[in-house]
Amino acid sequence: MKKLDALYQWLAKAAAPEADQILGAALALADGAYAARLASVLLDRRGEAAWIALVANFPRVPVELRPRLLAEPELLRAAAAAVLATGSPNGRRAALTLLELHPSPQLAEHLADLLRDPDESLRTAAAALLRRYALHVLEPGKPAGDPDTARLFRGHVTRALAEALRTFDAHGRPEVLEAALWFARELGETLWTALAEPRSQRGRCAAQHLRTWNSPRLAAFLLLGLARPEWRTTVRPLLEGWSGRTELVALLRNTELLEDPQVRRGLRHLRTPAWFSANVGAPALLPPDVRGALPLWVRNLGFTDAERLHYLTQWQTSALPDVHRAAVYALASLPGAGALRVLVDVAGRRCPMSRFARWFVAGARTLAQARRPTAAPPVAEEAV
Amino acid sequence: MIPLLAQAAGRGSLSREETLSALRRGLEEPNPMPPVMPLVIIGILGVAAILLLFHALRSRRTAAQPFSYLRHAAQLAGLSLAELQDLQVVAERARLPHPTAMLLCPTALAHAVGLAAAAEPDAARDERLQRISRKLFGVGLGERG
Repeated sequence: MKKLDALYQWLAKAAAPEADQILGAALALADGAYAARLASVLLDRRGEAAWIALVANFPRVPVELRPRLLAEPELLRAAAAAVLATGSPNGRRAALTLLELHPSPQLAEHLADLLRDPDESLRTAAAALLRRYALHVLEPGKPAGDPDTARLFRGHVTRALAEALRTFDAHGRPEVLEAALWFARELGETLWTALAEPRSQRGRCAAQHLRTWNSPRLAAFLLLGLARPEWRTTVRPLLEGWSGRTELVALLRNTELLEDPQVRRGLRHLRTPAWFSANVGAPALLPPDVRGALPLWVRNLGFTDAERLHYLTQWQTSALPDVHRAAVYALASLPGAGALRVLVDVAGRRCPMSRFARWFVAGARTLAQARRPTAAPPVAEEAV
Repeated sequence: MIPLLAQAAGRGSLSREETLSALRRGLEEPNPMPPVMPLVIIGILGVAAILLLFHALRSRRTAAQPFSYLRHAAQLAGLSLAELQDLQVVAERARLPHPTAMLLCPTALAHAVGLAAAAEPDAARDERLQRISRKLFGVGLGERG
């Protein structure tokens, strides 16, 4: 056995990457103490070729040695990328196992490439993992605490989904199409052009599966779809069927989409949606980062002016500064004397928005007097 | 010099004076190359060319034969030349990309022997490889250590 030790020592010290490949080839077939010894020698060599051998044989690396492998994240990512791109089917499978246990969204693009792998089991595993990464980066604060890193991860996953969308007709994996719909905001026109392609199955597949994919993650897709006449009849029933607070929050998180006039016009098609009416009674129960958007939604959804006035009148007295402020601004944008009367009331109160209300009412009264002197209601002298 | 003397000798007997002057002329005149010299030079050049060619061929043969990991590993593991040859046959039959891996663990050797046997059965070779496995790892092929 001393001679075997000499052999191991020689390979441990050999500079050429062939030594890593030899050790890796042995590790692929080793078990027990031999697997531990081979993995240990490769870990000691601490180079990209060694990490490639370890990643390609990840299931054979003893659990107690894995922390050493994971302690070099850059080497690990480079090795996993190399194995996914050029490794054997078993190596690619081992790399996927590693990426399942230790997610690395930076490698999402490689998963998109794997969707066209000759091995069907690998295609299935890659599609499932890409969908999992998409879920992972969608969870608020989950992929990374640092916003820059979170944005970086999201960018990798978006690019991977764009590639998966492009090659959809070659792989036909509906789960990655579903994930692509979750990123409708990021994918933008790429998504809609892909879905509209008449010779492709993408659009038909999405329309067929949409009901089974129904989830708050589709919020942006549904809002953007509502703005497109060709998708409106498909997405509207889903939005009309929503009624929970989770759905409301998901939609509120996409408030910036309301900057698009087409989306605002699309929202008018939703008449008194249950997800809104049933969950806005107590804005304090909603997450602080979204509740301030409620008045803007009331302003744009398919409510009557009376319904809008009802909600905004309620919220302008809110103790939550963001809700109070947004409600007063929304009231100022509503036409009719009813909203102005409420603003007169705000102007006369001691509240954060009373100054704005005083200026607004004074302006409205001046304009009304210029047109028809009696149009504007009187405003208390001390309030103005 | 010799040809001049020979010419003089061809004319009959020479006087002492004639002999000495012929000798002097012979010493003063350039010595023409003997007819055998070109052959000698061509021979030397030919030998040099053959030596150069031989050296070049030997260098090429050395370059075409890279460092053999299996050979070196077999030496380190204390295997004989015959055992190395058996391993080379197994590596070839089993189409192993990294034959040296056979010497690192018993399962890798057993796997290679199995592949080689499937490609070309040889009971005697398998028996010899069984001995190599015991020698290297202390266990036979397919046995757990």
